[in-house]
Amino acid sequence: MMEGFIVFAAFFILLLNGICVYRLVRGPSVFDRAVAVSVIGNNAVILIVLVGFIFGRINMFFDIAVAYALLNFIISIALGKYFEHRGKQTQ
Amino acid sequence: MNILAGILIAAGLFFLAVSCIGLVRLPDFYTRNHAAGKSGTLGAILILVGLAIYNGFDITVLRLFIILLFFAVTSPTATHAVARAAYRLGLEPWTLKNQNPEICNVETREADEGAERETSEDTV
Repeated sequence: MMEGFIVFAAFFILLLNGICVYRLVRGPSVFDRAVAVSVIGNNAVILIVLVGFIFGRINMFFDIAVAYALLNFIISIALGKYFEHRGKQTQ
Repeated sequence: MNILAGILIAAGLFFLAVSCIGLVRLPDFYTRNHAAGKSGTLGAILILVGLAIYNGFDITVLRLFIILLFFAVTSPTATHAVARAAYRLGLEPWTLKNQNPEICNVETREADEGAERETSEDTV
């Protein structure tokens, strides 16, 4: 019963990612897209951990999840820094 | 124990759903950022705790808590970095004053001093 519930949770998160893609495409300013990327990254990390539970090989998927969480964090910080730096040039 | 894990995972899913719906429905960048940062983190933490309970208590639970701790620290900092960059670049927050000034009968934005700041609709 729990296995089925975890599979349902994984598909539900996949559905939520679809909603975030709408904001990614439409976002008026580039910062909305940055937020959408961050949320999708969050969902992806959780999805990886859930899939790890489904396939039973938990240890392997944890490493992937930690690596991807680090990557997602670096992306947000890099975007923030890049736009602050670019802001100074244009204004 | 399984029931408790199921409840926690369901709660985590609920908060992730709130985060994504907030991302779409909210009017302005700052409110979306707020939604994504807070409930995204909480949803992730709830799901990880639920999985830890479902998995029983052995060495892998330690790894789960490492991810959980990592999430609790980095997700807010990441959203803060983007928000500060947006504010520095002059992205105007969505306030009643600059969206429909006639309602709050103050003088219109042009009368304010300072450089003309782009509204949140303009692309940055």
